[in-house]
Amino acid sequence: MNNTNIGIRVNKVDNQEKTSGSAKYIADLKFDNMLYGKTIRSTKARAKIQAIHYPVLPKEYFIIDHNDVPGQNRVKFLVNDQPFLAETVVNYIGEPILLIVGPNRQKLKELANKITIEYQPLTAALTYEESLRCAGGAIFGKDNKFASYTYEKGDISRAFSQAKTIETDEYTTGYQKHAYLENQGMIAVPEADDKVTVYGSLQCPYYIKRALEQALALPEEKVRIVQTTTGGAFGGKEDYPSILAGHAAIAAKKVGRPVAILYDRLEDMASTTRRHPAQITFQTALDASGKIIGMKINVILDGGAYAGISDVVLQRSLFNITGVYHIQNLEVHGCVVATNTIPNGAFRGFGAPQAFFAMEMHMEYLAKKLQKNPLDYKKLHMVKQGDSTATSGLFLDKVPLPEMLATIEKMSDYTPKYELYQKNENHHGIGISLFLHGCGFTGSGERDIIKAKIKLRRQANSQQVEILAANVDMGQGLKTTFKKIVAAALAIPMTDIIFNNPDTDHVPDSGPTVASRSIMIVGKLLEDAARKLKARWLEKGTIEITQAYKQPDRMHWDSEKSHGDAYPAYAWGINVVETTVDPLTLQVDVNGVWTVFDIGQAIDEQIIQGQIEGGVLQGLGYASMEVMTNDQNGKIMQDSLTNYTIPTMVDFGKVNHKLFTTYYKDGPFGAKGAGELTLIGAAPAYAAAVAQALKIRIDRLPVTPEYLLEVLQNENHFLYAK
Amino acid sequence: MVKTYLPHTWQEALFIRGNDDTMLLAGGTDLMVKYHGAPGITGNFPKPLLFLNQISSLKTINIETDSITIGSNVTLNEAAGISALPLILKQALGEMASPAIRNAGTLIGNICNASPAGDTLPPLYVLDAQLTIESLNGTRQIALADFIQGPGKIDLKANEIVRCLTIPRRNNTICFYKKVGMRKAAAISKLSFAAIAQKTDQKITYMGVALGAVGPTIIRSKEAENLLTGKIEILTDTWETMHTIYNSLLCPIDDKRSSAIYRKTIALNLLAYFYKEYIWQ
Repeated sequence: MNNTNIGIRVNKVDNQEKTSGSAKYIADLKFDNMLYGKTIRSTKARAKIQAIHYPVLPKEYFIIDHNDVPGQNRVKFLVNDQPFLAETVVNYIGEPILLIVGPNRQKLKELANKITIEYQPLTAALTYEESLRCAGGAIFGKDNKFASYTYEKGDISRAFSQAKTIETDEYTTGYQKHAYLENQGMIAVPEADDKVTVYGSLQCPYYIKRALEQALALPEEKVRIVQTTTGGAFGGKEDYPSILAGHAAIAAKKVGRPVAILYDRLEDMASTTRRHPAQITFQTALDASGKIIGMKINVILDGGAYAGISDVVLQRSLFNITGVYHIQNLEVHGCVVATNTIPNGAFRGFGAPQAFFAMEMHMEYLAKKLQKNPLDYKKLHMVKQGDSTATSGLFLDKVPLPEMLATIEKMSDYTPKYELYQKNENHHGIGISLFLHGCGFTGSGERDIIKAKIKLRRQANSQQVEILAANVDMGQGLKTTFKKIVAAALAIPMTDIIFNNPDTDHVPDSGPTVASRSIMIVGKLLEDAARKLKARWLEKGTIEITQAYKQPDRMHWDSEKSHGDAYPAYAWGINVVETTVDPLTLQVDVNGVWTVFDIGQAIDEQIIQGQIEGGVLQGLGYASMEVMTNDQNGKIMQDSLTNYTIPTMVDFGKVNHKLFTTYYKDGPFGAKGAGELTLIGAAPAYAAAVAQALKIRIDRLPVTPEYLLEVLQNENHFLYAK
Repeated sequence: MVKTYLPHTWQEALFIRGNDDTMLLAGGTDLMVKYHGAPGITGNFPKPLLFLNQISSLKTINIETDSITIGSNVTLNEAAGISALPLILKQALGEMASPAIRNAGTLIGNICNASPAGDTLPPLYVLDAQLTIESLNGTRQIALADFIQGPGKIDLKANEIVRCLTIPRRNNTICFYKKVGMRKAAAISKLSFAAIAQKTDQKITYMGVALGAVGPTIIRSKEAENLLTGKIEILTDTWETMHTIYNSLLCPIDDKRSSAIYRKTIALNLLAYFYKEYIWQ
C-alpha cells in the first residue's frame, strides 16, 4: 500500500539511551563469577605446531585448546573448514590456537606471555599468484579455490569474431576494515541442564546459534543467543562473531563459569575480517562505432585462509560485474582463492564495490580511448526496463537512471565542469559513477536457505504489539524503522510497538541482518503481518500472527547455471565527486559530492540521510586513504586507527543528496534496500575525478598520493619541476 | 600498580625528580597511549610517574619584546591562543591532532616526545627555540636542535625537568608551512615542511628551513641556508647546490604510513616551491 507520509523524519527510538550513555554494550555487562578469556594466536603465516609449553597455572586459571571443543571443531558456515582453535597447523598470523581464561586480565596477559609455541614453518601463499600455483601445497581443496563460477550470455565467440577492436584492461582493489566504534566481544554463560547463553555484539543471532549447536554438540533448545546493543558492524559482525561466540562458549562449558572475551582495538584490527581484495580483467569487443558488443571478464578475489562467506561475496562480484550496462554477449569467470592471511568476510557492498569500481573505470578507459565523453559513452550502454541482466534475468521494473541523471546534472553541473576541466591544466577533475544494488540475498538464498519468519504478538487486554524478529539494530536505525512500519500498517502510535534486542529463545529466525534485506524482506513480512493483525484487532485474547517469506512469483533463478534473476529488485544510484589535486603533494581535495538514490520509498528520510552520508564517506575512505597491507611475512601492517585512517568530518565536506522515490510492490510501503548501495559509487566517482585532474589513468584502489606519484613517475610526468 | 607523584610546587617536583628515577607526565597524550594496558589492565609504565599538571607556575606565558616564554604545562591549545605567537607555529598547532589532544597535550610534551613526525618541531627548529632545563643542581639553556638527539631521545638527565621554552621574536616577512598528513585532521604527518625568512631591501637577512619525518630527527641545513643569507642576487646554480645538499640529507623510510620515495620527492617539491615562489621571485 502506498503511504507517502511514512518517510517523514522521526527521532530514532534509541537516541536517548545512546546519547545519555545508559545503553549497555557487551563490555558493560558483568555476571557473577565471570572470568575473562584471552586468545593466544599464531605468529606464523603457515606452520605446523610442534609443541606448546605452558607455565604453571594458578588456581582459577585454565587453558582451552581444540581438545576442549565438545562437538565439531569447525565453524559452521558454507564450508566447514575453519577450526575454532587450531589443531596441528596454522594458516595465518593471528589464527586462534589457545584460550587462556581466568579472573584477572593483568595476570592473564602475564601468563599468556609465558606460553611458548614451537612451530615448523611451512611455505606460505600470500599473493594471488602464489595461491594459484598452490605454493607450499594447497591450503584449501586441491586448487586453493574456495569457489569458482563461469557463466555466459549471448554468443560471445561471434561477438569477438565480429569485433573491430578488442580492448584489454585490468583493475585491482585493496582491503578495507570496518572500523566500527565498538570492538567485538562476547560473553558466554553456562546455565542449568547443559544450556548455554551467549550475549554479544552481533548481526546474525541464528548464524551463531547454528554454529554453537555444532561446536558444542547441543540440541537447538540448549543454545540461546542474545544480542546486546551493537555499536556498528558494517558486515564485520556477520561471520566473525560465530568464532568469537564459539570461543567464549567452549571456555564457559569447560570451566562452568561465565566467560567474557572482549577484544581491544589492536586485536580486533589484526584478527577480524576485512573486505576482499580483487583483481579484475576485461577483454572488451567493440564494433566500428566503438559500441561494446561483447565482454570477457575474469574476477579473482583473495579469500584469506578460510572459506567463510567468500563464495557468496564472489557471486555478488560476478553477477554485478557489468554494472548498469546492457552487454549482449558475455563470458564471466571468477574464483576466490585461499591465501595465508586473515580470512576475509562480509563488508557493506559485499563484492559489489570491487566490481563497480572496475567496470566504471573500464567504461572511462574505453571512452577516453575512443575520445568520447565518458558519460555519453555510459548512456549509450545504459540498461532500461525490460533489458536483460548480466545473468540473463530481466530488469522488470522501471530503470530511473535517465531522470536521476537529469537531476544530478542540475545539482552538480557535471557536464559543463567536465568539459572545462578537460581543457584546463589546473588539476581540477570531476567524476561520475552509475550503479545499482541487487537488494537482498543473491539468487534464491532467501527461499532455499534463510526461509525467514517473523511474529507479531498482541497480548490479551493490551494495546501494545511486540515485534518478534531476529534482526538487529546495529546503529542503522532498525528499531525505529521496524516500529514505524508496524505502527503505520496498524495505524497505532509507534510508542505502542515493542521491539527488543533479539533473543533466540523468544524470536523466530527471520534471517541475518545483512544484504540490505532487513527492510525490504523482513520489513515486508512485518507490514503483511500487521495488516492481518489489524483485521483481527477487535478479537479478545492474545493474538499472534506468524508471517513467512515467499519468493515473488516473477523471480526465476537457476543456481546451477547462474542464470536468471539474481535479485528480486534493484536500487539505483549516481554519484558525482569533484576534486582538486595539489601538484606539490598530490594530496586530493574534494570540492563537492553529489548523490542521487532510488531506494523505493524511504521508511525514514533522516535514517536514509545517515545511511547516505555514512556510506558515501566509507566509500570515499575506501577510495582514497584506507590503506591496509600485509608485510612480507603476511602480517597486517596497519593494526591501529592511528595507522589505518578513516575519514573525519573535515575530509570530504558535505554529501549532497536527493532521493528519487519509486514504489516497489514487494517491499514495505514500496521500500527497497539502502544500506549497501550508498557505499558502492563513491570510489569510481572519486577515481574518475582524480584521473581527470591529473590526466592519468587510474586502475587501483585506494588512490593514495603515493600511488599517484608512482603513476606520474611511470609516465615521466612531473607536476612541479625542480 | 603504578607509583605516582603529584607535586604542587616546582621545588617539590625538582626534589622528587632528584630522589627517584621517574617519568615526567604533563598532558599524558603520548604516554597514556604508549603505555596503555588492554581494557581492564593497568598501564605498563616502566617508571614511577611524576605528574606536572598541578604546578601552576608551569602554566606561565611571558611575552617580552624580543622573546616569548612558554611553561611546561601550557597546552597546545593555550599556546595556539598566544596572539604574539609566530605564525609558522600557529599554523602547525592549528592543524595538529584533534581538539581533545590539543586541550590536554602540552607544547613541551610534544618536544620531549621527540618524534621525527612531531608537528611543532619543524616550526620550533626554524624559530631557533631554546629550552630552559632545571634540576636541584641548577639551570641550563639548550637549543632545541641540540636537545633532540634521535627518535624519542632527548638530552634530559634523570634529575632534570624542562621548565620552559623560549622563542625569539623576529619579524618574519616570509612564512610557509605545509603538513602532509594521512588525512586532514587527527593525523600523523607523513612529512612536514616549515620555512621562514626575512628580507630587508631585497637582501635575505635571515632564513630557516626545517623538514619533519624525512629523517631520524628534524632536518635543517645551515649550510644550505647560508648559501642565501646575506645575498641580494642569487646565482642560477644556487638551487642546484642546495638541492644536492638536501638530497643527501633527507633519508626518509618506508613505513605503514607512507613510502620513502613519496616523502623524499614531496619534500624536495616543497623546497623547490618555497625557493621559487617565496625567495627567488
